[in-house]
Amino acid sequence: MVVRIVAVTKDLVAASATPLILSILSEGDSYGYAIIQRVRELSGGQMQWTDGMLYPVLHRLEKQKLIESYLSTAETGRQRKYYRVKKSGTRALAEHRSQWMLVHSTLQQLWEKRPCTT
Amino acid sequence: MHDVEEQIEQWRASLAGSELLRGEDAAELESHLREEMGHLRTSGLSDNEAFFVARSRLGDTEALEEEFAKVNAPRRLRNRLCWMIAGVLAYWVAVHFAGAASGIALAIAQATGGSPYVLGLIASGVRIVGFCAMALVIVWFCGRYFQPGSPSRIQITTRVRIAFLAALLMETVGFALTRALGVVCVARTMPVTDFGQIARVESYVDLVWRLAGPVLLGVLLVVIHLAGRRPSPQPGGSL
Repeated sequence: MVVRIVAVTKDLVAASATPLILSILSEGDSYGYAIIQRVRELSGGQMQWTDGMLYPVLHRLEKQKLIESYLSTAETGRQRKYYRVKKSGTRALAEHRSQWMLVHSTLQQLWEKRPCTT
Repeated sequence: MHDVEEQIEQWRASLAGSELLRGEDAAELESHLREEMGHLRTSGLSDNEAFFVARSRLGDTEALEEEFAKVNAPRRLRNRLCWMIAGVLAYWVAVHFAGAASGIALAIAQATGGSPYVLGLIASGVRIVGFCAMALVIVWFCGRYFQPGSPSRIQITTRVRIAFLAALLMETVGFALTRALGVVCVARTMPVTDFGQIARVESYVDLVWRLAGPVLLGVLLVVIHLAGRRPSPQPGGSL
């Protein structure tokens, strides 16, 4: 069996990080490791982030007041930093969503006319 | 197990020492690393293997720093400002200590009754030797009492605050005042022509010193640059 790996380019990973994180957090509060796992799971392991790159993005979103963090003790007994989406984050996500949907539907129309031959 | 703990500790220290990462950033990354390791262990990897895989998935320290730099840029600026202030303060302490020492030496030498020419040379010589000695003392003191996680980050602890305050007090009240009063005392007790002669000798020496100073500084910079290019052994090694 040949598994085709779709490598998502660095630019696309960077561009999609914010809507991905906001979407995952809007499902419920989460923390870094779990967010990465969720992305892996949803993309079938094909969207590979360098794990550490997630944190600067989280901190930037926190600085932009789209999300907030709090410390909580995990089952393992260690302190863990959880992130929660804020109201402004939900609004930002809606904005991201409409942009992505626009790009998606535009490409979709083009590709439906001339299906990808590979 | 102990071995892996040590490796994690080293890895964490290398992150915590970066001027671009906050302590809590390093803690968050460590927590991630440990969780990933736990996950990998359940799929049959040994402690060491789990550590190496988890670490490489997190990304190397340099790449992480680069990403964190985008968020923590103001922090880097603040850190550098702290170093600059520390440098300026150290310079003032050295300069005013040299001035104070020179003033005291002049007052003592004046009592022994040397010629103004000799007095000027003594004052200048003591000033230069005092400056160099104080600079060395500061370097020694910093190396002896302040060993932060890395050479790049100033950790503003109580100790550092006290040291800053002490240096400032010592500089202003101690040396600057002694220096100023010393000059006034000598000037008042000495014939004006003698004082002028001393000042003239001092300004000649000062001229040489001012030309030599930047050259010495340049040599020092080259030495530091060359020393920095020599590959230093990395604790823990890198993959």
